[in-house]
Amino acid sequence: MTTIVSPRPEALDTSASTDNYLTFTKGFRSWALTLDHKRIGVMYMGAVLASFLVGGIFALLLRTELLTPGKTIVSADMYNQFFTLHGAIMVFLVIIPSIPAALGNFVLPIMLGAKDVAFPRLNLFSFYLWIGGAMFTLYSLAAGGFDTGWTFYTPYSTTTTTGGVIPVLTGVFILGFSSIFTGLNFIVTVHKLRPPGMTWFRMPLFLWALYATAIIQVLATPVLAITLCLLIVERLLNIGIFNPSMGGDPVLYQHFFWFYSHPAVYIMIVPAMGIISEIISVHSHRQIFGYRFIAFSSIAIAMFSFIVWGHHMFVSGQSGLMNTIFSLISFSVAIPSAVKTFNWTMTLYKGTISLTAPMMYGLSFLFLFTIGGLTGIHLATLNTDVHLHDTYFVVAHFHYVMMGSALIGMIGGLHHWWPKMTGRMYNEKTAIIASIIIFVGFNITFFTQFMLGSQGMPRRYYDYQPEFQIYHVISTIGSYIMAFGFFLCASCFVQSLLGGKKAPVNPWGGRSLEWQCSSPPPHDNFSSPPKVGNCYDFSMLRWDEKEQGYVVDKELEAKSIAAEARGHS
Amino acid sequence: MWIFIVVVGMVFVSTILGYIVVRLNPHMQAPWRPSTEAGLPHTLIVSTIVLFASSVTLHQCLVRARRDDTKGCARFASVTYWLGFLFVLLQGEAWWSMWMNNVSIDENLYAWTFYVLTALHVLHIIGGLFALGFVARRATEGFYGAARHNGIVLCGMYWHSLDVIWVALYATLWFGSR
Repeated sequence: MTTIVSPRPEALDTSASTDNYLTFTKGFRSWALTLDHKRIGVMYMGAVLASFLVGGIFALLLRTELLTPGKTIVSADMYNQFFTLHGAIMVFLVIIPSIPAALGNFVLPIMLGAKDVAFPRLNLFSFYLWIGGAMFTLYSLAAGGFDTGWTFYTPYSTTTTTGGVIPVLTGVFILGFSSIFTGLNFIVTVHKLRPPGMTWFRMPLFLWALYATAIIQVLATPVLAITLCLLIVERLLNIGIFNPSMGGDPVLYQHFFWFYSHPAVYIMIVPAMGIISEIISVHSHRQIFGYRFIAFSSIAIAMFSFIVWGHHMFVSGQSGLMNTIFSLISFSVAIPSAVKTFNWTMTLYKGTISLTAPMMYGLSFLFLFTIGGLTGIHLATLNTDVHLHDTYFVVAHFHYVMMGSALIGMIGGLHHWWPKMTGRMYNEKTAIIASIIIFVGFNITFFTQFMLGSQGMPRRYYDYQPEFQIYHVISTIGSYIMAFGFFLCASCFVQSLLGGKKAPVNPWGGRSLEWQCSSPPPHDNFSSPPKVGNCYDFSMLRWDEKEQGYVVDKELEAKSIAAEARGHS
Repeated sequence: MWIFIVVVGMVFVSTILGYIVVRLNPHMQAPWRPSTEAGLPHTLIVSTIVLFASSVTLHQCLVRARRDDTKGCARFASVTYWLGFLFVLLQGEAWWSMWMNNVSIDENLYAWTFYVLTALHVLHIIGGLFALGFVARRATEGFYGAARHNGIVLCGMYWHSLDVIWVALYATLWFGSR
């Protein structure tokens, strides 16, 4: 071989210096008061994963309880509290902050080529708001728990005797602020801190997704905040605009709640789609297919998300005309979602696919999201929805979307950026086995629930007819398999932290800017403004045995530049 | 800042919409405001004028800063601050007069919405007073001039938008109490 291999000049700079953000300063204070977006992202990640463990334990308890009809391990009241806690923790503490706040904080500024987010202090503040919200949620357990379901529907939520309702509402209110500030920060960062050369259409698709998410966070969350505020005052004084006995309207609460919570579903899924765009393209080493379509479909989903909330309320007594309109608009959400799915599939087609752990999660996502999305059509159809409403079919559908897609996307992203975050590789083989176990366990758990639901098993019930038992048993076994998969995945990460191989600058062959700085990145990301190119052009990369990662090949780079120049002339 | 104003706007737009929905509820049995209960206190008219005046003075403060008139800028900044403070006191007085007329918050929806909506707005005003206080202190230190007055601009955007929101809110309450 006569080619002279040399990494990009920026990569040389950073690998020469020993500075990295993890060890740049030491001590508890340096972390607790840090303004570094990477440290804040890592702290979020730790907090989110801890909440995920708690929420997951509640899920396992629920599934265990449902093994037999009637009482298995806990009383009916406890069961009500368990499913409420599972829902509230998973939605508000895990999925909503998982990708934007944890991964987004770590990745967004580096991908963009910025030194930090636009308002680092606000960023730290939103982290502490999150902690505060989580504390209130925990406190609500001590104050007597709550059994309203994660949706806090009135009038039950204003009349139930469980004592933890106000604390948890306060907690969610505070978490909402944390989410708004993160969104605000990201919008301003993307607008103002792009380095020279980073045009809108050179931004990696993950950034487009985070940008779309931030728009939803900023516009929808205030409505939730005021709704919860009104609910708190209403519960304190036993009177208010959701109280039908005083002329108020409980369905108004549902409108307000879903005006936030439907967009919130997209706060969960859109960033996961962004991650999948990165993973699919990088790990199949092929230029992303239909870049602009994917980018704009993120924005389109964000816009649509605001005008479909009524499909949660088909049986609430709203007028037939409204139902029809909401049903039609809900169908049209399928268009941008399908645009993305087809583009990912086209990217895979004839790509050089490496079956790495992130790619395994990427493929799981494609499969599970397709099921989750298509079953959504059954629910958006008015007449089938009347039958399926409030059954396990709905439970299965949103678990396929929220967990099978959003959470799998987040775990995939964690595997993808783990070497960058920690500077360590994990055991690829174990990680792949874990991903397969999770995939199998997930489908056993939730596909069964589609059958349960279509046969009429209502959701949230403690007791059930004996003929449903076989499905419940299968579903519970599936959840145990899945839990084992997650523990295997966690052990893989722990092992990586304790004695993982040192990660190269570019282990997967990515071209976006974060793969140009060392692993882990230096505290200020880039010492000089990074060189921005087409972040999906992988033609100039080749595997280097000595580096154990991908490097830019000078000769291929020259060729590619020449080809581009020809293309322009 | 614009994004932030949109955030605050969303809060109030949804509240007002909610108010309209329950106000126009066709199934309501009792009248919205029982004839025995007092209408909106007249203090609200005074407080509206005060809030308007504070917006004018804040704008004057900006104009002076652009002309490099440090003293005028400081004077108007502190006048604005005290007008804002006065507004809060007047709202308190309005509450007091409602209370004295035996309209307590847990009476009916008319009272509930009055207290909750005005409280929501006053809380945002108090938040704005912190920013105004900061601006006023800096102005007295001679910080703002023709070259540097971004703080006043940003504070003003928030303050004026609260002004607009108050008008919308007051109109809603007024029409609602008919």
